[in-house]
Amino acid sequence: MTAPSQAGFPGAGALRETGRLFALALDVLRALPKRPFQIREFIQQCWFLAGVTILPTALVAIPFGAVIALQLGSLTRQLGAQSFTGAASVLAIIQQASPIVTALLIAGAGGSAICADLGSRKIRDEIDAMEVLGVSPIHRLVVPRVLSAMLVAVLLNGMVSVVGVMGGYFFNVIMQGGTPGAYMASFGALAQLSDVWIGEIKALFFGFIAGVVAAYRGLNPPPGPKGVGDAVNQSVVITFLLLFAVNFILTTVYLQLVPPQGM
Amino acid sequence: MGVEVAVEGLSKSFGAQTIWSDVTLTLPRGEISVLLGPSGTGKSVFLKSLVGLLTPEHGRVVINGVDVCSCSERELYEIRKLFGVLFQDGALFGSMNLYDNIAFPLREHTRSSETEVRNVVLEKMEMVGLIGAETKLPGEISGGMKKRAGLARALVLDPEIILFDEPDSGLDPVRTAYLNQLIVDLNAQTDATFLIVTHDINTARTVPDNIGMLFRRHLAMFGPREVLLTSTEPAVEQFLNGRRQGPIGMSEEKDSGQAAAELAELDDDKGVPEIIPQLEISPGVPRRAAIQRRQDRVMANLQSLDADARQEVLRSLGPRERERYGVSAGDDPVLAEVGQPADESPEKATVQRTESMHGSLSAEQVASLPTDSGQQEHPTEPRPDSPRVGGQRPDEVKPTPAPRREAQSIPEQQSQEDRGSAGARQPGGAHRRSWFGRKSNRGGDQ
Repeated sequence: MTAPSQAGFPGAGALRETGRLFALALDVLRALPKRPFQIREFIQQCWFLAGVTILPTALVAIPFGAVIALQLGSLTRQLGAQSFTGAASVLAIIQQASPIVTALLIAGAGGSAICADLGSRKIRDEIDAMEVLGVSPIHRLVVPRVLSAMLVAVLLNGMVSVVGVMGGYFFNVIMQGGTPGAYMASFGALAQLSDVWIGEIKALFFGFIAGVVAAYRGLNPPPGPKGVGDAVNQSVVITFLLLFAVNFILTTVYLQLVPPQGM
Repeated sequence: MGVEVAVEGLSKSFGAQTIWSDVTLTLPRGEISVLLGPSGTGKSVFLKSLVGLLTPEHGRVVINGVDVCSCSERELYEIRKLFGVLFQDGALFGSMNLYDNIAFPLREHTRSSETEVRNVVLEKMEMVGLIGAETKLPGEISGGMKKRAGLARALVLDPEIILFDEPDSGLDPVRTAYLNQLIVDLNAQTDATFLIVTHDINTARTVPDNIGMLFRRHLAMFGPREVLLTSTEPAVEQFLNGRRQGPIGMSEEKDSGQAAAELAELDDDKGVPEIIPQLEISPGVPRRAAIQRRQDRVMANLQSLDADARQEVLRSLGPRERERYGVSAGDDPVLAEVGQPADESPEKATVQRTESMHGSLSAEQVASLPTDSGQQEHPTEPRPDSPRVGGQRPDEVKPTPAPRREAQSIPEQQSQEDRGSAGARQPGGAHRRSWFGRKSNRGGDQ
């Protein structure tokens, strides 16, 4: 971005960028209810994001579930609490693993694609041209992308949960010789329905953040084609940092607000 | 139609770097203005400031009573609907084909049915010679085609202010000539306000009514074309001559002592090349309303101009205008010379044709003109195309004796080729210039 001269004190540039990021987020929220809703663009973006994220997400989710299952399996055997293996792995996967996997994929695969797309449009003057034609790029391009990132994140989160739990089941029952019945029966012992909800809410936030950050970096790339590459890189890194921070906050708040399932 | 754009004390800088400061000019309603300047003087930045894409630090840009620099976002989007902007490489949407690109503003801003959209889009595509390329993606076409498609998209909403960012960069000379002609004809048809940002001298000399030049972070000059074209201001002179000697250096500007030394060396060679008459409108296109307005304005301020500029203004007047403004031929030695139609040197001939643009030739002058020029006196009358169809004497029946194109002497073959590529549907040789085929038809129908 330009205007380095205004920086009066160290960190002022970072603060300004942060301010602009939030301004864009507010603009997106303000443009949300505006008619006509870009349904076509929205569906295209959903399709596109789902296309680039589904397979990698599934491939990440299986080993994730497996690792948790194996780890927990050996731990619970030592403690003699084998019947709780299923419960623990469901809890770990639904509450923590699946939002994190979703965040990684939405930021890494989806956000980078959004950022590169908008960035290349920006340097080809397409965004300017759109503004000059009296069409707000935020309404026309950014809102559908952010919304589709949110929707796809929620759906991905569901998918990761299912694939992860199934992976955990497979490794626990087939590889470690656990009992299928005990595994399934203990689901309800530690986990509860609100765990699924918090997972989905996290995914919704992650989708919004990934979309907004990608759009922000895409709309304000450093000059030149190399700038777009840098912008994509930065957008992924910034999104990761933000998502993990937000994940931590949401988890803390959730654990404080919702009492754990009593045994 | 046509809106005045008043720029007052505009200054823009990126960080510590001043791009230009205190630019004050008025783009007169319905006229074509050109903004010149060496590369990197912020011409494009100026253009973007006019449409509110960049926010200048100081100053105002007033359009229809609204200051673009400080108005609300909603007002800005409303004002922008008055604008058509041609970006440097067209700025087409890469994900849409040409047809959808050009239809985009219509679909966004109007409630036209698809059939209406189609009619308008095809009309504009034909105007810029892109029929047959509707389904191509912007990535699949050449830079010149992108530019033309960008122009078509800028025109679909019938804007009242049209801004061109270097319409001639990256185009071959023939297409540039066509594009310039298209600009003049468009201005005649729509009476919109035009601003062309360029560094092409030929465009600057033949197209505009007014010329401005940005240099050394200031607006060096802005005024009627005669003023700049006769200017002795070193930077303007150097630029219009396209030579190295002068204040403009390879990097931005030059040491003033060196510039003075160079200019002294150049002593005998100084002076701006002779003024070329403006491009005429194509036959069949209605007269440009801006010409009369501009003449009134220039004549009213005649006394404030330089002697050279004054002379050029007077020289450009036809007999009828001279009468109108009460200027007699005796006032100026040049006029007496122009008044004689007998001499058929090429330069004089073009001067006569300029006058015919105003439809004010005396009877004997008309008699001495080629047939088709004579008919321009009544551009709205139905006019058989026959004098141009024959093509036996191509030099004489050339529809527009634009000096630029004559100088480049496009071979007949070239225009054939162009017709082929543009895919005009008119049969045979009835239309030598397919870009304007439809328009000349329409003019004839009225």
